[in-house]
Amino acid sequence: MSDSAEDTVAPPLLEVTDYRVGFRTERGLAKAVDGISFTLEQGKTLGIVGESGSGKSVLNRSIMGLVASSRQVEQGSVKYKGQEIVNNDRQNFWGKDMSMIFQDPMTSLNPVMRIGKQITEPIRKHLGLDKKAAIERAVELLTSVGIPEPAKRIDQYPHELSGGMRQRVMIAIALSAEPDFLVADEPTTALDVTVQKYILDLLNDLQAERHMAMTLITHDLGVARGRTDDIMVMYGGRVMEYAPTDTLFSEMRHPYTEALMSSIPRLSYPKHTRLEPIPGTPPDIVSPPPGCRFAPRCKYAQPECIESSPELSSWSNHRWACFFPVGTDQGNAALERNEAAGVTAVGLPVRKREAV
Amino acid sequence: MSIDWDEPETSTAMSADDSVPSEHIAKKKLGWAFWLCIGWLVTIVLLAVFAPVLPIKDPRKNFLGSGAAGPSSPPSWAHPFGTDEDALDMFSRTIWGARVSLTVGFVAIALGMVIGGGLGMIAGFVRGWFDKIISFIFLALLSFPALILAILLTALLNRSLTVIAVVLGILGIAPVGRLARAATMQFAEREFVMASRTIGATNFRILTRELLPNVLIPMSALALLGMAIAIVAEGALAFLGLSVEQSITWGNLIGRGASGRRTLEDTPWAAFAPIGVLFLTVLSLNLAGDKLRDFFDVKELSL
Amino acid sequence: MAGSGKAHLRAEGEALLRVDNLVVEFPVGKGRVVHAVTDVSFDIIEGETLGLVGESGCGKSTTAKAVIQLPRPTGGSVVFEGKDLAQLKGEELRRMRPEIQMIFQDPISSLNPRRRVFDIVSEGVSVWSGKGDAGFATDRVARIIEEVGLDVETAREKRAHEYSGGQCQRISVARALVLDPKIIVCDEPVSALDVSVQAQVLNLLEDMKDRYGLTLLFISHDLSVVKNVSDRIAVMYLGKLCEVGDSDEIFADPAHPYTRLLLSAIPDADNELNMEAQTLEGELPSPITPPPGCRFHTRCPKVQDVCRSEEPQMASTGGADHFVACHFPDLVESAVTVS
Repeated sequence: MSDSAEDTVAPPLLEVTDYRVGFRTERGLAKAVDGISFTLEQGKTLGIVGESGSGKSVLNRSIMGLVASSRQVEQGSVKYKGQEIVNNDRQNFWGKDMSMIFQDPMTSLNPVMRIGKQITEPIRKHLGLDKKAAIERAVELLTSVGIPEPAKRIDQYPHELSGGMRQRVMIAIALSAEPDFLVADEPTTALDVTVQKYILDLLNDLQAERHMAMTLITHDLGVARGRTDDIMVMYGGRVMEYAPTDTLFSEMRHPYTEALMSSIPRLSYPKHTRLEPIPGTPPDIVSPPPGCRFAPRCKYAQPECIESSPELSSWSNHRWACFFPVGTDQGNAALERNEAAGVTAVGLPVRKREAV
Repeated sequence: MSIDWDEPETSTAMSADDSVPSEHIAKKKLGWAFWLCIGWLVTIVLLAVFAPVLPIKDPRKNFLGSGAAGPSSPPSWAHPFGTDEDALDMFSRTIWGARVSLTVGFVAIALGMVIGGGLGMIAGFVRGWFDKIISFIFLALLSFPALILAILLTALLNRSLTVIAVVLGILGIAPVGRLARAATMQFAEREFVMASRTIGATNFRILTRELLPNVLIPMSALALLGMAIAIVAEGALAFLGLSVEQSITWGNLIGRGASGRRTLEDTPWAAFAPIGVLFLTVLSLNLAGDKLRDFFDVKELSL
Repeated sequence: MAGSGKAHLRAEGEALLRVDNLVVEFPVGKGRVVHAVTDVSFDIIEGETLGLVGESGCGKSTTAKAVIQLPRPTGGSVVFEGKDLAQLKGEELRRMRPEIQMIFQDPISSLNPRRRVFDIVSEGVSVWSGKGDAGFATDRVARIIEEVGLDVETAREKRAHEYSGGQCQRISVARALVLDPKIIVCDEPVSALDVSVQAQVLNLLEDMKDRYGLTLLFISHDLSVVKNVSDRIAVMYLGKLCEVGDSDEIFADPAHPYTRLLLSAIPDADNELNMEAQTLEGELPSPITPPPGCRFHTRCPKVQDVCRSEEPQMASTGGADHFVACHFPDLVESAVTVS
């Protein structure tokens, strides 16, 4: 998909091509990220949606060079502003170019260091400000993330703040050196819904203000919707579907995306609506199924899906990796075949849907 | 980085059932070092247990005259660890010494496990005033100078095997007890204990069925380390002339072998043979304890 | 939400479980007390699922634990089948325990890592049955393990850590079912699970509820999940109930300002309230010194003087089964909303 850089003059902010990340284990190579390509332009937000084990976190941490493991294997290409960074030390990018916020603000803040020091340190390092100027800047930052009485907070320790407050501090730290690219790794999963809304709104505002690119990693399709420009749905280390956010929700093509949507309880459903869970368990990434990663759990699965792995289509900005996409003639035919047989090509029982 | 991404896999079988994701099954190995240690410990224990029936020399017979090696002879085929000043066979004496030393270590730590572990678990489980009293007793025991307590008790009572083992056992109560208490408190907070209560299990049942199996793991790792400490402590007591009287122990052997500079110079093997065996035994106990703890820690975190 | 009152309770004899004026307090030293749950009353009728929702710190889990008397509440009564559990002595309470079971949030922590899964599930039977009917008990355990979708032979050999999170929750469900309970208290049972697995466990709970005629108290911070499984919902804030009623009705017409804010924050594709785009301002007050009057008044967009001094009581909104504790509720008739 790297060839989709149509008419851009400057290289995209982030260009990832056939990127692979594996971890050597006793049983073999765990292919956490297995051939992923995407580009991210300045000022855009890419939502990366997937369940645990989909590789969404490893992908982002590896791009940032945050995985400090001798067992990590990195292949493919990641270009940041045109510069190849795979297998290079990325430390000097941290802060000024790329930054990250994590799921649990308690573990990512140092519990024995005052908030002020934790913010001023990166400021002084990256912006070369003296102590007094750095504190002024820190207060500004804390104000910008909506922390009341910032001057007072500077002398407090992380445990004196609520979860939402700590996440705001994390955001202030991450943005302190004005990065061009921010990875938000499940930034609101540990937070209450009302706080989640606040944090997501805040990230949106700050991003627009700074014209920053962002990847928003989440397991929650609801969070990704309305907060992202594009969404990439990952499963078993691969991209299942990639689409502009609205397109994804209006015409989802991949059976996994569809299955994910129908397994979530929705507010519009009346009470006791029977959910449609995805049968089975996530794939083993050390010895994944030979064909499509999702085939063992897919109600569309055909013999073809077990034998060969579908490539991500590349003819438009809506891409999917499926032989029998949802809502197409092939997809409908495949589903009808399976429903008639009562079983998919893998042997998964399929029940006929009740007429709506 | 010459890793072949698509290396052939051993199993590519597909399963649509709800079988266990295999990363959870990945077994952690104890490693060869652990088994080497266990091998050494088993050998020593077997030798000690069967010393009376093994075809080894009489540890109390001196090999003077009649073509024997005589006193202070260096290691040879007949006497693998040599003989000491009194022409006693160091090899058989070291093996016989294991009987007392290992007994002392074992009894001491068994006492620590039963009394300390029991009290510690109950204290950690019921909490409240009982916990406060027990914790204070543990603290007091830990604060009392161990060696002085041992000297005091052996001087007041006698220096029989039982007294030595019990004295060392008392010293083991507090460390084992504190560990058992901490581990019990940690597991008692886990929801499976609450689940057990909602089922209607009695306190006794929760302690024995739910908590004990979990607490036993860190405790047995500590027990191995504690046994090593007890064996070394016996050696230290012997050096002060306070170990089991009229008996062959590693401590006594080392004490005799290193009783003076001349003895050490003339017959270094008389000291270094039991020292070497003691060192290897203690090292094995420590290593095995460490490995055991790591092994179970990792398993705990495997989900 | 400082709501007290009992307008929302059904007739005395109708409820299977009735909680009256429940109070749970924890001393935190220096004579200070955390008011985790203050004067909460609710009831559940047989076969009903009551969803208890609220954000962290609202006291929903504490309430659940007080219902099973672990630990015992500071005040109030928990009446089940005519007996007040809070008054029962140790052994009497232990005899009642099998009737009310619990499923916990953390699939790992709630299963003993040292025991085999079959033994974990059969624990209830071995606590309560003599040696005589061991064969019958084993059959029952095996049948339930199969019913929750697990393999019996595997369960005999494996320990919990060899199972995935979703499977661990199935084990918990099986353990609870073995005792043939009347009520199961589910404390965030799917919060630790992936969405695809979450649906499996929710469906399992619904199936088992039908099969065994269970009554559920379902605690969750996830409103979409609660709405899906519950017949009736109680919304909690800072140790008090603010709104109780039929789940479809509450979601369609939230009457309490807090409920409205809570619902509007849900990132859901079809969330109409989301358009209101209000944000809950300020921080949760300390439960050590909860605000007087309505406990929500410090953050309420509609706050008036009366809210600061006078605690609102539960009252019907006029809907069929819908009660709210607010001086100025958003009633359907009065379309005027203060924003």
